[in-house]
Amino acid sequence: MAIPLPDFVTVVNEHQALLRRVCRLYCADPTDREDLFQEIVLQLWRAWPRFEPRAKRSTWLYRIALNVAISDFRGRTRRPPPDRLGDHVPELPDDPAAAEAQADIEQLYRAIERLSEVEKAFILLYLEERSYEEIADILGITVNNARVRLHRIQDKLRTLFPRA
Amino acid sequence: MERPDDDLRARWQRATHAAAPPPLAPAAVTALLAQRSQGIGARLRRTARLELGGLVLALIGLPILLYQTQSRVLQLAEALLLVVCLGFCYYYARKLRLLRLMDEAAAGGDVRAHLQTLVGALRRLLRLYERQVVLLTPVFLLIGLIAGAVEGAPAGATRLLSWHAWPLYVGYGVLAVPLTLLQRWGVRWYLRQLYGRHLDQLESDLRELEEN
Repeated sequence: MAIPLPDFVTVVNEHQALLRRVCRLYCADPTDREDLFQEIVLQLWRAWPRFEPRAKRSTWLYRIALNVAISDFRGRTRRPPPDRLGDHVPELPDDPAAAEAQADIEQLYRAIERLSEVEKAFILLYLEERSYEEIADILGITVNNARVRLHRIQDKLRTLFPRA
Repeated sequence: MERPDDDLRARWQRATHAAAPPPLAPAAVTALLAQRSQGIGARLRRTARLELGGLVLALIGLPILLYQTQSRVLQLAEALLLVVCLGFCYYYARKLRLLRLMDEAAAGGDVRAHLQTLVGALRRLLRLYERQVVLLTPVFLLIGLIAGAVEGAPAGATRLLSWHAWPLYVGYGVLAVPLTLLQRWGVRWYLRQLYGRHLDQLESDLRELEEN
């Protein structure tokens, strides 16, 4: 394997947190998450020569990451989501405020895990503060459709995570 | 006043953006890239390449074997096998083209277009595999019949080429038709077990994305 271009390493590092969030959302199991991360980086590397500098980099990254996470990755075990949201007990930091925030976000992750693969993509892009235009562009749907679907999914998420 | 949805986004931003993962060294990225892809396209391509290696060996070996064989009947069986191997070349060319299409689909296209390409390519791939197996059943049965005749009576095997052998060919037909149908059912069941769930999932994701 050739040593990757410094530019590519920089892009991966700049957006590593974003890629990790996609992996966290699509894989509950840490080992599966690492496998998915590797798969996404591999796809980014393959697509790298075709990346147009004029294109929006975040759109390009979300597209590839979601394409891999939703469809092309069969390595991960598809564990069924837990029946109750309180089943999962994560490690919490010592600071009570930080611990509360982390517990809160873990609960949110557990709620999102109960959504379909496509709904997860909508919610992720929404939480990541992407515009309707960009959501539509990433998913390949119309802006109006993105708006309508997102509202429906938000309602659904509210029933799963009442604090939403 | 902040809306509950905005509050959720703010909480998400605070919690998920607070702790950035440590940067990856170039060596770590190289190590990631050196690992084998577990994507469905990559795995199918690896299998196809292995099979293609076997095919190349057969394409080299069979003409040599054909040249050295004395029996005309055995020569016929070997020639049939060679034709099958040439047919396989077409099969693998199409298979690899479809796999490349599946591979390229993830590289930057939107999610809907990617799913459409994947579903279409996977369907065509499964149909291609099914046709290949169904077509091969009667051919391999014929080769088996010839080999069996040579094994049973080497001297009289050439009788297979005369019209006196017609009851044998009727028997062959009686056997080949149900076997081919059975094979077709079997291969469909096998493909369903292997890729059915994945294909169903992809189709369901695509439907979900396309609905208004």
